[in-house]
Amino acid sequence: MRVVLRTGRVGRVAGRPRYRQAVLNVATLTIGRGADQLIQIPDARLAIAHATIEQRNGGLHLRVLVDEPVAVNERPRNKAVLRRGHVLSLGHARLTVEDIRRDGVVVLRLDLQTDDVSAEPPAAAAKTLQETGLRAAPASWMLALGVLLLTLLLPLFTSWNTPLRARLRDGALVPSDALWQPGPLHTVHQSIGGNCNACHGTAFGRVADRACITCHPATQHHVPIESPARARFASMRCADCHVEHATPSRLVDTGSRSCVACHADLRKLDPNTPLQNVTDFGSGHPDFTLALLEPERADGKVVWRTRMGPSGFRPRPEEHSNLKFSHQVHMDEHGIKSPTGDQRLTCGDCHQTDASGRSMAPIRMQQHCARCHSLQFDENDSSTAVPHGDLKLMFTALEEHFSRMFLQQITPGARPSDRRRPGGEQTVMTRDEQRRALEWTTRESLQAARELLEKRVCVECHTVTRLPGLTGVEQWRVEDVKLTSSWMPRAQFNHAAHRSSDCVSCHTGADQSRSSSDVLMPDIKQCRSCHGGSHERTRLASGCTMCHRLHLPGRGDIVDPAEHAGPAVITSMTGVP
Amino acid sequence: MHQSFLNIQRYRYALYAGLLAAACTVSYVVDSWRERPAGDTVLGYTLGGIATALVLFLMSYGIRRRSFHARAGATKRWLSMHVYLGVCVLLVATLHSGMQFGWNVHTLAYGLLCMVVLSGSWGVYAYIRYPTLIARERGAVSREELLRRLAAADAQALAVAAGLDLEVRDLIADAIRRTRLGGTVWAQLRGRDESTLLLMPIREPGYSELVSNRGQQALIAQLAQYQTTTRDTGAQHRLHQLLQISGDKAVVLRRLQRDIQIQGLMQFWLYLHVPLSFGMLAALAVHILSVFYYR
Amino acid sequence: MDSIDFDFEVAILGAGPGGLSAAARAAQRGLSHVLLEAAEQHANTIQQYQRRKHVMAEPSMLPLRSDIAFEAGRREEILAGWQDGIRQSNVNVRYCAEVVKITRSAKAFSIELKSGDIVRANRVILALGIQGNPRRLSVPGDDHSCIQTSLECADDYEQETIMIVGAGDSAIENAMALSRGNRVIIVNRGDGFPRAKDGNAQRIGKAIESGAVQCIYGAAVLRVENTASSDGRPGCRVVLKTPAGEVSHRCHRVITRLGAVAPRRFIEPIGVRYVARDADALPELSARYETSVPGLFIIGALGGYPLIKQALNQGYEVIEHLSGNSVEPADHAILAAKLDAVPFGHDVDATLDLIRERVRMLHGVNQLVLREQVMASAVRVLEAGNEIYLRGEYLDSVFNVLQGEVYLYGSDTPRMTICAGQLIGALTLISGRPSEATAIAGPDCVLLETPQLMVKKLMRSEPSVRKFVDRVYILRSLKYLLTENTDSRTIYRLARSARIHSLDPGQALFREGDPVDRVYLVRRGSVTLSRRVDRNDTVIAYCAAGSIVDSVGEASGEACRAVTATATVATEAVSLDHATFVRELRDDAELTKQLQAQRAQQLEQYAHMQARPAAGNILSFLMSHGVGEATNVLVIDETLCIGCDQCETACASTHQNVSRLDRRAGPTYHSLHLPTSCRHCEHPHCMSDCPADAIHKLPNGEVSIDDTCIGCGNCEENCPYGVIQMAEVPVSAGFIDRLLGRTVPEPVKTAVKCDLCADMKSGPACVNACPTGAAIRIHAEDVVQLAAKRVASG
Repeated sequence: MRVVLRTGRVGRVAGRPRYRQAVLNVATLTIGRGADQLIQIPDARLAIAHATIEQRNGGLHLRVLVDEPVAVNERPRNKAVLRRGHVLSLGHARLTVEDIRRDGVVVLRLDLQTDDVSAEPPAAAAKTLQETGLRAAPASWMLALGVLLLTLLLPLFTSWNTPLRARLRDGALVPSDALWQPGPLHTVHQSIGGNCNACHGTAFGRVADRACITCHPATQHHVPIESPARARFASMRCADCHVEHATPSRLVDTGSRSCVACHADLRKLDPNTPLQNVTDFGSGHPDFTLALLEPERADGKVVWRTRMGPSGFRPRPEEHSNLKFSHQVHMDEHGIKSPTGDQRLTCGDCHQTDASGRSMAPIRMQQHCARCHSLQFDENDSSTAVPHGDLKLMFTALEEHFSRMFLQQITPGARPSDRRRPGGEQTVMTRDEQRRALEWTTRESLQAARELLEKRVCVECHTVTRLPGLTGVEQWRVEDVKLTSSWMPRAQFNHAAHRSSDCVSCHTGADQSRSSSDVLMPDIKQCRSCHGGSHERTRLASGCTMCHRLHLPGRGDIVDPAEHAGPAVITSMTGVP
Repeated sequence: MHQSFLNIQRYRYALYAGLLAAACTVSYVVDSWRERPAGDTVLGYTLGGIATALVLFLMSYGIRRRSFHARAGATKRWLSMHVYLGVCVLLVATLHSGMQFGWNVHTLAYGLLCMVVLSGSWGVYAYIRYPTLIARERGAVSREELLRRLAAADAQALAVAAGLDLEVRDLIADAIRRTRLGGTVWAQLRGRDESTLLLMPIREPGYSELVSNRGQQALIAQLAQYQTTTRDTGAQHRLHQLLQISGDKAVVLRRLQRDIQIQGLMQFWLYLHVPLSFGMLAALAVHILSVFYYR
Repeated sequence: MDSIDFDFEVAILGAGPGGLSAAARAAQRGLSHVLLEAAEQHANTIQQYQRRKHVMAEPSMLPLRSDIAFEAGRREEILAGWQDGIRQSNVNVRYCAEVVKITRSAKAFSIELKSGDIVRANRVILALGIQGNPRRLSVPGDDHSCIQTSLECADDYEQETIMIVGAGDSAIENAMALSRGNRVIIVNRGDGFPRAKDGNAQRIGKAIESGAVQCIYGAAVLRVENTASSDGRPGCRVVLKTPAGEVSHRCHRVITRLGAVAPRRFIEPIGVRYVARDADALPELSARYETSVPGLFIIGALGGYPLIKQALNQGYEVIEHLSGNSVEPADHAILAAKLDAVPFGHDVDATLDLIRERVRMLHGVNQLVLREQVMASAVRVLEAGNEIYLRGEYLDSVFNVLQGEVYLYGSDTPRMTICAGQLIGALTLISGRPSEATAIAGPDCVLLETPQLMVKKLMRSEPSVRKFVDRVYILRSLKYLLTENTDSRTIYRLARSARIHSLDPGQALFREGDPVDRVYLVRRGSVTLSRRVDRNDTVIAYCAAGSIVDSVGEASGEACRAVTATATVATEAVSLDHATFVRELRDDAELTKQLQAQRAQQLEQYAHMQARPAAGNILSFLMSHGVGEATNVLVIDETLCIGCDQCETACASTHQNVSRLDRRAGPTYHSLHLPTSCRHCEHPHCMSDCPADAIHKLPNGEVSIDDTCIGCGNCEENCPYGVIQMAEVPVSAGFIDRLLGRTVPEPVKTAVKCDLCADMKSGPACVNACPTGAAIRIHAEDVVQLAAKRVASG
């Protein structure tokens, strides 16, 4: 907008005033008392910024910025479209619209009544921060109250059991008691969602155990539930070890303090405990104790007992599994004879982990041995294999074999008269024939059985004893074989975690062992070569819970005992009432 | 003799704060061997307690400042403690947090604390730096005196201009009216001369616009122009006077603006520090409450 | 000229309290009397107090005996009360009866009035007060109704044209006060305001520049004509003679501020003797207030009794005395009570005489003065071993030993025994410094404790007293200065050579290049030593009271002074003859050692300061603003001050919301700022003239105003540092009172100033509340250190 502004002073000297002409090129023409106004009129009756004049789509628009209307031709207006000849009275000054030319140029005439050039000093602008109305108190209140509202009141509101609760919690960006949780829930608890009250029962009450038990009913105790020792756990809470909301998230406190608290000096609690004291795996952990299976004779029957024996120190314990087995032979680097020629075996060919991959699956004859160790009494005839595991079955198998042979008269040395014609009419065998046939079969079977049991097949792996004064198959006994399935039942070794290192590095000399009586379990030194105590810096820091569990099998379910604080009000798994 | 609040009795309070900080740090390191550092361990609670106590003490400075009958030591001692313990509390709080941060009220409280301490340190800087600056800039002349001089210069200019053409009188008056001093917070802190001048052509009509009159330069230039164009010796003399006056005014104006700016800078931090600290107090309260509300 | 004559038994001049009381008594006694008052109303002085001013009834212990009722209250009430008194005890009073002249014939006095009338009376009682009569214009029409000689309350006048005649402080103050709402014209005989205080002169100068006040210089009033002012309100036209010829101004009101005719000029011609020539000397009076002119009595302020109650009593007593029955003076009972302790018998007068002859200070003072002194003093009977005062305490009084003896223990001087009749506390009296010694009472010791103020007044009026005190001072100070092994004869010899120099601020004691012929010992105030370094003086040392000035110079054996000694404040120095001093003390090793030590110290100071001329400048800046006499001055370090005004807020909130300090005001140099706040001077200017004797100096040096202040504003006037303000201290009503809507007593206008927060354990609130340590309070002796530190710190 282009404005020609003609400023003059009325009543200064007699006669018509002299006008000074200025041409302004501006978007908006600002009018007021202030220093930054284009048309500045030093009159206290005007506001700093009083009005503006703008040219919009041809019209000349007056806008009054304060509620002190401007008289346009003596008529007070708050906004007006100015035409030619309009006179605005602003304080003592008169602003006349002289002309609005076709080319859009606006000609204004400003008549200042006063004749003395009065100049106020730089209008009383604030010269200190105080004067600008800046105050600390209101801001303080706002901030403090705002914080209280958003982070206290609303969350509290959600924490009370209100119908709005769920909605508030689900709403994104709505401040709920989620603001209060110091860290995210552990992944396994994500399913609980934002419902704090699922675990946090009463306000200012600790999380009650029953909150956990609701979802984990079968959790076992550390000591037999009926034993008096249980009393010692009265003060302990699940939450003592199971830390939630921690960052980085961890569900079990791997720190060993709470274990060591008792186990450092267990005698004190229970004078005749078999357990030894533990302070720290690195420094204060006893040697491993192995659970050996041992056969014991009792009135002719064999009973297997597990004998706890320290590993590591002399005399080295021996395993009595009644199995004859030499790792050395099987692990021969030149390979070992097999139906498909010589073959090199690895540990993994026989020792395979169970589904979990943590612990080893038991070794089975059929799976692991049978391929090479076939049980046929006639090398050339594969159909002569006998079943494994039960002498009687084996013998029956033999008898069947030989009787068939007899019937088909293929036995060398049988007389022609005895031979029956093929396709000849059936002739019923005489009693005498039957007797001879039976004797022959039995004889042959015993023959073969002796062969297997005492000479060739079974004895290779099993110990076979002959019982005096007995005949038939009862005269032999194959001592039954039991391999120790879990050597350290109290510890939980995870083979999967150790897959990267090869077996022999821990089971040292396994490949060299000749006798199956060798115990090939590693001792604590082996572990300590990599694992240190809980505060280990150079080795892998290992707390109790790395191998041991608090909740031991078969101790009985933890029930939230009365002495555990707080009637927990757990609505349900998802906590929605 | 005079003794700044920082080095009271050879930095005694700095020493105390330092000792406290050291003690906390050492116990933190030692304890981090035993268990993973967190806010809810024994040490965590202890540190939290200490931090809370410190915060309350620091806030109580505000009260002490206003209680003039109090006997509890001179205010400058309190300020000294306030400063050093203020730095200390940040450390303690950090240790208390066990470096566990997240989008929650606890971290909010911590964040606010950080901001409070930051603004406070700015304040310390301001209180060390600016008074000296002000004393140097202002010399023995008070602001009131400067303002008086400014007003005097204006009055004188008007008086001298009275004998000149209307153009000059209007120009002078316009310059005086459009002289900017102080203003909004931002303007004060920025301290730039926002003075303007509506330049009108002298004789022939032409464009004219609002130009910056920083340091009265526009005015001076214009007056100089008048002086060259005018013939009348008397007018020349007056214009010469006006030039001198405007020059002096420019100097005074500059000093005033600088003074206002420094004063503003010296006080502004407080307008952050105080509200933030109250926000922090609230957040702290919520933090403590919520921690025990859901245990 | 024919004139009516009157005959009276007694004529009483001045209807002030004294006059009224006398007249009332006379009326009661049926004595024929007349009360002549120059003004058109009674008690003119009190009429001129500002509105609703609270008037105190001091001294409170003194019983009132008069027929005129009087007790503390508002000005209006009291004046009204007296008006009633006049009416009831039908006093024969004549207003507007200004006495021109008193002549004494053989049998009676004849009193000539301005009107020409002559009043004859056998006895005359002068109760004129000290204010004297305001000078009139004494031009035609000077009795015009719109001419007044005083201004009660400036706010009463608005939109008036007021002409003020005069150029003194009161004229200026009136002008400034009135200029707010009125057009003010000052008529100034001269061409400036030389008589005014600097502050006032500056203020009026500014006002005239800005046009707020109009001033006509070199003008004299020719006549005042009656006319209505321009707006029809009553007014007058004043015709002035100015350098520009005669000009006339219309105005509503004329205030003449031409000073007053001092009463003494009026009295002495009658033949009344004064005790001394000094301005504030008193007329000789008998115990019955009779002057050296028999039959002429002087009572009230004129006789040296500024308080209303005293005047009232005296009026009564004089009349009683005249009517034949001799009453004991009002203070008799009190004196009796006071002197009861003195074991010289029980008759008051006898005891007084005994005291006078015992106490050497009071030899040859007249009965009344003696009474007054004893009245103001306290008798203290002490057990042996009691402490009278401790070394380092500021004293507010001096002690005359009435009986027994007192032992003085200086820092390193031997025990000094002061026997009966002697004076102690003379040093502090003069120097205003803490006492040099601890005074312990000897066996059965009785003391007369007199406030320093009284003694100072006495010294001014009684030359004998001053001589005595000076001598005591010189001997004592020499005793302290010298050591035990200088025998007393030496001291006396030295004392004989002693001279006393008193200097105004800025006056030089001696200059660089003067011969070293005397040894100077500052005895009050302080001096700075400066040396001329390339054409400008550099202050290099500061000598407080009690120290030898430029002992270095003396020691050096130089013939001429190497430094100039300038008084920082009003200073007095004792000087001894140098030659004698040296001769007498040559063989006193102990003393020489001491002096050497002192010298070494001063020498070090010289070097230190000379190395840093800046420090010297700071020092001289501080001195030029009177820090030299401060015992406790507030100094703000501007490099630490953040302008938070905590100091003022603290001061206000600890002192009934009236801040006693103004941080912004006051000079600044080298970023050291001296705000206007009491410095607790060694010789407080404010104390010099306090009618109610409400200002005291406490042992810690604090100058405090107690609540007997009557709000006269003298101290405000007298304080050169403008630290005293007359403020309406709100009487704080308890919460309960406000709850019960009990009426809170209206605030009384009294003088307030810094009291060093005496009642606060934590010390001055301003310093205590300063957050950055910018504000400190220091003693004048620390300023050297301060200055040095400033420079060192840069």
